[in-house]
Amino acid sequence: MSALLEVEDLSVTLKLAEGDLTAVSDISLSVEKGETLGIVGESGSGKSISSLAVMDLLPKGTVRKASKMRFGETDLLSVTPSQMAALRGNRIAMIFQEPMTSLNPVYTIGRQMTELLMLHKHVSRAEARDRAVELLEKVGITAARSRLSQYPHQLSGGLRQRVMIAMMLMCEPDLIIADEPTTALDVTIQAQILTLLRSLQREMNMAMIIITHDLGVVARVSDKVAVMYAGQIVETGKVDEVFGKPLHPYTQGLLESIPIPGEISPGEELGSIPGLVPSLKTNFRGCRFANRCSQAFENCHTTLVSLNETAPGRQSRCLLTPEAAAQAFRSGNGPKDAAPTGYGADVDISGAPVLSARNAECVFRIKPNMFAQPKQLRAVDGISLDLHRGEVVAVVGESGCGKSTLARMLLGLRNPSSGSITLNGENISGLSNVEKSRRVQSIFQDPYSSLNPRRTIGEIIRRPLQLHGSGTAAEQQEMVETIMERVGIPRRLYHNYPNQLSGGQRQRVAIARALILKPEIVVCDEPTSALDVSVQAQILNLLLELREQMQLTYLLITHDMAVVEHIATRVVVMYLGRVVEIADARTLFGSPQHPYTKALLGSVLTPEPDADVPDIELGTSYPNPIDPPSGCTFHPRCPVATDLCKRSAPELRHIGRTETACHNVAAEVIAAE
Amino acid sequence: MTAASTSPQQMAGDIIDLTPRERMIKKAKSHRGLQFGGAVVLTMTLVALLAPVIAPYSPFEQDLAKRLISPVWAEGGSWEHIFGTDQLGRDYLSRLIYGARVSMGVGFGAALLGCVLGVTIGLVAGYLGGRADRAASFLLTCQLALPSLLLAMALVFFVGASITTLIVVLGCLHWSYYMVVTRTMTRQIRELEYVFAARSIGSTDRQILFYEILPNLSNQIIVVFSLEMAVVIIHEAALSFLGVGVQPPTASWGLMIAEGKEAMYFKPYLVAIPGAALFLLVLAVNLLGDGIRDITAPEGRN
Amino acid sequence: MFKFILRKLGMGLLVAITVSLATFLMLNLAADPASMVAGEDASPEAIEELRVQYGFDRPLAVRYVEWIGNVFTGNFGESYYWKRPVFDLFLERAPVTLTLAFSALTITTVVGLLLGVLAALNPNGWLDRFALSLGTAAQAVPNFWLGLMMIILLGVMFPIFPVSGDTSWKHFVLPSFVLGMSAVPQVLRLTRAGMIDVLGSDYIRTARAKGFGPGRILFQHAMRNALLPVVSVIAIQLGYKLGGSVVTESVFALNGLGRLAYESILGADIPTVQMLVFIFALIFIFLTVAGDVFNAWLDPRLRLE
Repeated sequence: MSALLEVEDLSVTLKLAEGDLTAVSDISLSVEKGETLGIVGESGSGKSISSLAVMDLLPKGTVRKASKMRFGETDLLSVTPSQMAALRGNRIAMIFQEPMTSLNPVYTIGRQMTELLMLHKHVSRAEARDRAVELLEKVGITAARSRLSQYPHQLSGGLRQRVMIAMMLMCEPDLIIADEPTTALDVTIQAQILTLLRSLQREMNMAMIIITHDLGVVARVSDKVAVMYAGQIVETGKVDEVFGKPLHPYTQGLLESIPIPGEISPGEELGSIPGLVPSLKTNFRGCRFANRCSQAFENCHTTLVSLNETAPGRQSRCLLTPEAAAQAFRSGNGPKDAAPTGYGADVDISGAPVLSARNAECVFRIKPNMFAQPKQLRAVDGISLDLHRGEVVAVVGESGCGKSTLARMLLGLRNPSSGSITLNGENISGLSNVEKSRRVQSIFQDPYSSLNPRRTIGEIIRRPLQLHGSGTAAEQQEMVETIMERVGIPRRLYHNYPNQLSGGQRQRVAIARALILKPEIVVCDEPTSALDVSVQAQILNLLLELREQMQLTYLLITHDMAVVEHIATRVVVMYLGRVVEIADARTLFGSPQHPYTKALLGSVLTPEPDADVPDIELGTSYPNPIDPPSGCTFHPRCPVATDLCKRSAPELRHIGRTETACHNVAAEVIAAE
Repeated sequence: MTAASTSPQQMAGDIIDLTPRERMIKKAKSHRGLQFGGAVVLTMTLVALLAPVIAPYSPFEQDLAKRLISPVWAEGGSWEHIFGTDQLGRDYLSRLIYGARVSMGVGFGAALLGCVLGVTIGLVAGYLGGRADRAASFLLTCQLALPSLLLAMALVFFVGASITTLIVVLGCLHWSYYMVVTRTMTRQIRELEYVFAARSIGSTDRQILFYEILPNLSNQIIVVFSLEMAVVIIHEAALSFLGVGVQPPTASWGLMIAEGKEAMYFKPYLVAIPGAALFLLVLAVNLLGDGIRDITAPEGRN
Repeated sequence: MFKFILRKLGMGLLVAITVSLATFLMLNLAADPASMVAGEDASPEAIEELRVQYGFDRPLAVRYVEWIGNVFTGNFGESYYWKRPVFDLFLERAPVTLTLAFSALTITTVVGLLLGVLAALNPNGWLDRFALSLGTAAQAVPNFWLGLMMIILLGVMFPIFPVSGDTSWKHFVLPSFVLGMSAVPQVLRLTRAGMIDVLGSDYIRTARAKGFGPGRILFQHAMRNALLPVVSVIAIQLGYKLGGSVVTESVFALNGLGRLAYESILGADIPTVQMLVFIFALIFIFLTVAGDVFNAWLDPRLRLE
């Protein structure tokens, strides 16, 4: 049987004022019924554009070219716009990244779902409503019939994505294209949505194309994969082959960039890809990856490389022989089953803490309008936490758990509503801004907004010195240049502006600014989550290196458990403003106690092609912090909750080497004794 | 589409874009509206400043023997009075040149006063948020509810018309646009990470406001300034036209239109010329403002 | 929804009271009402006499409370200049302004919305450039001058329309056009910007991915979202226009509310001016509240807060 969708030599050119930009060149894809194709690539690789091109949804001013584009019996290159429209939503459906903005805010869920079926299948409204209810139930939405009259803003992100999926399944399409369907969602929700997509696809025998930057998602969901770089496919093949034995140096670099437990030990240097993606306006004369490739030789810069078939269904765009290419993979990273390096063993946590929070609380008063009663939002609800010299403490949790608020309190940027924060034994609220900033510094999430666009790189890094009045102008300049070198920013960027730098370079500038005062503690708030995988590795390596050189103590705020496992020495798990579990990293990852910790760890998708998406048993979605559940706030989602959990909130208790707040775990321990 | 938005900026090598200033100059070079607006505003400013030097006659000198001479292009016109004379025999070109002083002066002065008021309120409200913000937004609602032209007329008339009164009254009634823009921008910037970064390296509120926030507002404020200046110029002309603004014999374009109205059926140039001047100036100021907005706008997403 | 309306009205009342206080203070501090009423040549004794007669000698606070109290009981005061109840004057002049305001608003809405939507469909196309140029020109042209030029052109050179008075519908054509055009740029730009924004939004992409045709996307999915900000502006514009368009009414010699206010100012009739400004503010507040309510009906997100 021939493929359901077949695309050959697809190119997409954007007409820009400054000239043409070929976002996608010569892409060939095929998907069969019941098969899942993963397209993976970093931002700017052209992966989304290619799928929009298939749907004929490209923005104005783009030109699409292909030698063949066939869907079932239909030639997509010769259909009229109305014939194409009849296919969209009907036989080819598409799910987008942003569930928050992809549904029309002024119409009810029911209307948006039924109109699709009524348009394509000409059924009555009542029939369409029945079908909508059926599908909503299928995607796991409770009280489905009453949801039909709700508006999108009344649902959480995870629910909206489920609605989106249900909506796109209304006409039972043959092909579903999912463009970063889980990127905007929390990890636990991500696992649920992926499981759902996977099972629906099997049940309805649909073909699926999943587009993502997340290697873990591709590995777990797809049958075959296409890796994209700078508008081209650089490698394709069965997913286990591509992940197990990558042939293209870019694929290898990507896989080496992510910390995979078992492949690389905590604290060890990650592989990374130096340099930047080339501009797509360039007239390429060689391999597009050559300037960043560690294995490049002369021919790579002068020969246009085509996609070569190395085995049936397996292609790579590289001049190296498959054997030579395969050998390079993970060659620099020592033995495959990495021995524990003893990372973090030198940290002594018995001494006095450098930074410590005692029953810290942060309560916001929410007053929607002048006449309403103010409501209380406990962003941080009684947290005690010690940070010792040399530690890397990670605070993890889903969005809305209060981890960023905690970070701001620890930085002294927000006073706790009650409780205290002490820095080397001194209450932080009694310290001046200048004293605080000399000891605690911070690195932020988004390198695009953490640098003032109107100041040069030099001015930005030097600003702390000016504020603290340290040294003469010449000395300051020298210090700036020293730190720039140390974090890896070329000195000639001194007089450039942030908009002239890449994301990774900006993050280095932010790190330089934080470190120029030689602080003891650095609070890193999601330091890598806005960066591409290959750049993330560079920044993690830099942070680890600087920690060693400058004896830094890190507080790491993140939702990325792979990063935590790689660099943290101790982990704090937060849920709705409270700590549910604290343990040293190895204990926590080895034997998590709290059901929430287990769920969090279980939903991490490492790129293991033979593994399936884990089944996460978490009921409902994240609660609204203004209106937290009674008792243990986790009980509505907890698979093992009892009546006791609904009534009373558990305290943090020592259990072995872990402190955890769970009635069930405590009961087990008592029973065992 | 997110995939396409980042790639154009990423070129090979380390430096991937121009400095903000270079980018602005590059855009300005191909912006016709900006160039036209800028040229006209510059010329009008020079004319206003150099009025005594440029004007061929005194704007006040009456010569009843030379009443209502047509401009040079019409029948009966001569090069002696290029734009003709008015009912009192005053040279129309000279009055027009002096009129530019009033329009530019009142426009600039009132827009500046409104700017100081609006930006201050906007900064405070946007930066402090909470109660200050609610108070400012209440003030704004009240200001918008007032019929401003009518109130301006009443106040100018009751206090007694003069250039200063006009500037003060119009300035005090035109702060809301500045405030809205400043407040919105401040509120956005306040939540950006570089402000948190500034605080965590030890900056005080004042240092944050003046070193981090205000420089990022300046472009927007300049844009609003030009758009508000255009509005104020029209309001001054309207007040003078209605007889409650600039008082005779001072030359103001609005007043000239009002005086010319009496004879407009047979000498339409009396109304057409000052009106055209007013139109040209306001158009130029608007184009300049729009142009500045275009060249300082951050790179579009697509 | 009921609570929402109630809250908006409560807010409106608060604004109205503040505005009344501000107006009262500004106008009474700008000039001495007694000497204004008495006229320029009045003797100091005559002024003092008037001051006592009208109660201007009492403290401002007392006078304000009395004034606002009267308003609440439906007593809108008496004009010194016209020697008649202000409210009677108001009712007498209102029909002309009402006609003018609504016909002008119709022109503003039709021209602004139509051009805005058409321009947004093809940004940078010829229609878009035409619409933007028209907007820029309309924004720069002084209202009163445009009025006079129309009179010269269509009233005198080609006498199609009468140039002053308010006795037939023909009288309203030119003033409505002039007044209507003045608000076109704002509505046009807002519609265009809103439409471009919405057409580029994720949910319109979703609608296209669902297979809807361009017409259905435009009218069912985009229009309602794009019009939200325009509704507020139209409410505001109607508010301003109902407040009497002093300039247009005096250019075309229409005896409406604007002209009434203008004449009261020239007649130094502070109480009448004060009351008119307050009534106009009330109308404005009411209309913006109505606009908010209408928007909340269009957009469910606004109903929550």
